Amino acid sequence: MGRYPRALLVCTWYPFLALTRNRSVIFFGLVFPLAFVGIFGFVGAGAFSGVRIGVVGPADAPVVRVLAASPGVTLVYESPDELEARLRRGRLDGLVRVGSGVVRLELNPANPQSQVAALAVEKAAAEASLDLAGVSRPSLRVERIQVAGRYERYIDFALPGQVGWALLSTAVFSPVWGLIGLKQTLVLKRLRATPVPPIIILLGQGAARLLMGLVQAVIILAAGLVAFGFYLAQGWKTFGLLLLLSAFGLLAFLGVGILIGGYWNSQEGAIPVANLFVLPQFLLGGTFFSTDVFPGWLRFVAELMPLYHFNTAMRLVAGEGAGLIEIIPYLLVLGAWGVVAYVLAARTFRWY
Amino acid sequence: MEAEIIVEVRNLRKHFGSVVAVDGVSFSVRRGEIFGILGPNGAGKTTTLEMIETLQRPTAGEIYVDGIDALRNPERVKAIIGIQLQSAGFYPDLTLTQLTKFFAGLYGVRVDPRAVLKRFQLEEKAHTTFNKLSGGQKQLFSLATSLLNRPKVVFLDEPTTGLDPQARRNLWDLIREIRTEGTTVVITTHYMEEAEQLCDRVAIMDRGRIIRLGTPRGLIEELLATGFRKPVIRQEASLEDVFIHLTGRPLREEG
Repeated sequence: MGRYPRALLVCTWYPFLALTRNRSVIFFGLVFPLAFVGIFGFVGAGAFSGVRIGVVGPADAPVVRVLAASPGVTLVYESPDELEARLRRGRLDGLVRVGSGVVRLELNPANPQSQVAALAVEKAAAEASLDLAGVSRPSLRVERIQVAGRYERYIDFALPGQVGWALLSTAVFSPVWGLIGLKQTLVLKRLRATPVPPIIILLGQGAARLLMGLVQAVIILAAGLVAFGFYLAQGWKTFGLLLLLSAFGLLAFLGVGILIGGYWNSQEGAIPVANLFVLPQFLLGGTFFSTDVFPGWLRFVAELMPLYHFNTAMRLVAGEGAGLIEIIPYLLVLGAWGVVAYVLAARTFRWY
Repeated sequence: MEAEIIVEVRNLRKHFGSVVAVDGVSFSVRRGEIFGILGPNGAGKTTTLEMIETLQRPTAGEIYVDGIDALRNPERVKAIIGIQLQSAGFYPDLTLTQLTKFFAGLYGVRVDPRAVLKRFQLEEKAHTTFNKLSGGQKQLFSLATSLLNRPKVVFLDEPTTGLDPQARRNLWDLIREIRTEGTTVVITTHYMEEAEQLCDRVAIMDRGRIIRLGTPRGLIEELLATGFRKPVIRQEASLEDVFIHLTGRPLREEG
């Protein structure tokens, strides 16, 4: 192996090893975002798990049998008084009283899920009455097709945002803490005293953090896939494109981190600046909710942010199966941020 | 007989804004000697050393290391020198074996980490991370990495500051050993005893200038020749001698 390739390899590998042994890197880069993914996964599962319908009447009544077999419907049997009380408190989404030839449905309009409960009951009643009339094959059938890109569950919206946020915060804070720490412990100075060209030392620092970010992206995506069945429009192809996009986003975000960590020699100066860059994006960059809900001027601000472009591209790829061509506009904006950051970093970098 | 010169410094100056850290320093180091730069804190020792190591750019002056112009060819100079910074300079969370391989890679040499660590009595710490070492072990390891590329000259910046007497004497022995193997040693210190014990020649720096240069014996003779007599009672032994005598000279297992 040549002199410089070997130097770049060691300049990447050992700093990478050091990153994996650093507790705060592991905590903020992995444990934190994974906890968020977990929370959103479970929130999603709870909120959209279906409707709870109380039943007064025989469990073997035809309409009740059909309801019990409906997906997303949970039946609750209690005394009529108890069921009514629960309906008022919003702990039931609907209450069914089965009589002869009539099904009475009581709803609480304050409960947004009540309409879903009503649909389920009406559908069950229709099916049951066809059955009773002896019709086994209805003359009109509704076929249901799910449209790609419609977020059935919050996790499918939240996970790309979590990846984006995890990568942004690692890519910015890792060089800010890291490079300044390496200056203060004289590690950068000691490296600079070796005959390796300075650019290779810096490339190695960047590559090590890029590698770490990709490991994070894989782990967060895998956790979403395994634990919550995160939706990938085109399977492994989508997964691969998400990683490629992650690498591109990381490169751009790292540029900003290296700019900040390279210029400042103390954390006191650098951390507020890094927060000023990261926190607004955390709130506005489409991490937790879509920027569609913002008023025009705020949306304009949000859409200048690199994280917005990263998150949007991630969602297009994951949820709608977009290809490389479709996300090029977003990559261009990310690339522009990266170029500006690296040019400024090269001019302002201080080794010690 | 004129000895061969390995480090040559001419009219070296370094200004930080309006502060003059090094104010026109000239000296040369002979091949194979232990050359000391003495002086109080802030005298400009470290800045002088770092300019020769090509870590800081001089405001003015010339530097030649083994005939190479250090200002024009810093990378070539870096390849033939070894350096030890005043403190640390190593990833705290990596083990000594990992760090040894890392630095071997940086210098483009292949070494057996076990052999390197054994020579500096660190073989038992091979899988210990750097931050778990004692002060003396950190300096030993730093010295070990400074020799990986078999340098022609090593620069040691206050290597014994903060060490206990055993660790200090142990390090002196190693430095003498390095010189015996043909490597020139340039060392800064603010311990006069250390300079007297270790150095062939010393330059005394104060406020950015070299105010005297010579052999320790020669400088003492010079002072005595002016009629100077030490105003204290002659001691046959010092408290340090007592300490060394009671605790044993060889470096014991630390921390």
